[in-house]
Amino acid sequence: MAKVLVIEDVADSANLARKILTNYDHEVLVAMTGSGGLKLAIDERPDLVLLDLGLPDIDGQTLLGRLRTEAELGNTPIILCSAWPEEAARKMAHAYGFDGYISKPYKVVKFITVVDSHLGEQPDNIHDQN
Amino acid sequence: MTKTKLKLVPTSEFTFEELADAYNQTRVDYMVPMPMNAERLAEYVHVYDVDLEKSYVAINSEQTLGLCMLGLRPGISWITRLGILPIRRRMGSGEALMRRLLEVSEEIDVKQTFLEVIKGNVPAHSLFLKLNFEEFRELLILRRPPLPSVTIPVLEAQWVGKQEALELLLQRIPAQAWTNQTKSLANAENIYGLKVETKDGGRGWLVFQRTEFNLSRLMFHTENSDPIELMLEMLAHLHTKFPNLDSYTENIPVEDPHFPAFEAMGYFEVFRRIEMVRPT
Repeated sequence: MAKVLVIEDVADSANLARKILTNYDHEVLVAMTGSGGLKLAIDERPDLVLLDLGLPDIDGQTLLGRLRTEAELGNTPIILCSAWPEEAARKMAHAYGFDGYISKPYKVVKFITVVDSHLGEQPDNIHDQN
Repeated sequence: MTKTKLKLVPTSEFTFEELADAYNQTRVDYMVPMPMNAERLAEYVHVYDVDLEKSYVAINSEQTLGLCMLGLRPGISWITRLGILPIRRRMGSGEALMRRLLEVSEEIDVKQTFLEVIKGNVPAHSLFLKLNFEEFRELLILRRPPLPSVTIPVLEAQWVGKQEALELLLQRIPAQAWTNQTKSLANAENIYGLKVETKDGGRGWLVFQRTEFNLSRLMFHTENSDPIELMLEMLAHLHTKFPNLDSYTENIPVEDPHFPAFEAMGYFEVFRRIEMVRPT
């Protein structure tokens, strides 16, 4: 079980992420703004962060830079979650140094595989859940 | 399907919180959603001279269906932030909002109306063509993560404040996208600039916005010199001075001769917009 912070402003996407992660026994924290996400990340020190690019107060790229400056979060995997066209999103993830990328809308198997690969875990019952 | 009965209400009758919420709801499924909070929307309205009394929210039975905003400057208008709730699209709300803003533009003697549409947004592009907008040019949106400069500056740079930076902008040929017009930068905070000169008479300047975490609104000009070399020199100064700032700049024409310098400095294309214009 890991603590996962979801920084996502679209309620449907945040709820889906929460549902998948909870189903796989992860503890889930959700922030719907960048500033809220930064505060939760500092206060709660999650094991992994799922970060949307488009946030209402600060964009995901800028927030990533802020998260990386926090010494205690320096080794926390941060995964880019985006509905952007895949090529652009992958380019963004690579250029900015995200640890991984998940496209939206979420596909359960892909989603949990990427999450657990960055947590060093092997997802259980993956086919039953999809 | 029953045709939606629409009421168009000026955006001035709503708070920025309500407008931001409505705008974000219309964009949840966009490929580049760009949500805003009330503070960012208020800044957007100020910087781009959006007239809230001449911008509209579409309502049906008290439910907000979408909105569209109109920027106004002498002789020209700009349509922006058009968005319709996903489940209410293709029912005429977007076209009704657009037609209202075009009527408003005509009433106040606007000569040309501009807008930008993200390349690949076929429904919006088709609507704009239907309303007699014509493609004007393609614009690049560029981004660069926080990194030191890839080159060491050679020439000496003179750094200037907002007043002089705005004077530099007046040297440009007045054909900038709305977001990059001198008035937009005059309305914005934290505007600075730098100037360089070569020994053989080449000159260039770079104007930018610097905030706590970002460099943005990069505007530039070179003359009597290789545009790529001089641009690279100015970018080297900028990113040597601010290596920890995330950078982006929007609406640079695709054919701009300085673009290779941006690529060399580590900027990459995020997406493109098509700028469209309609004579009124």
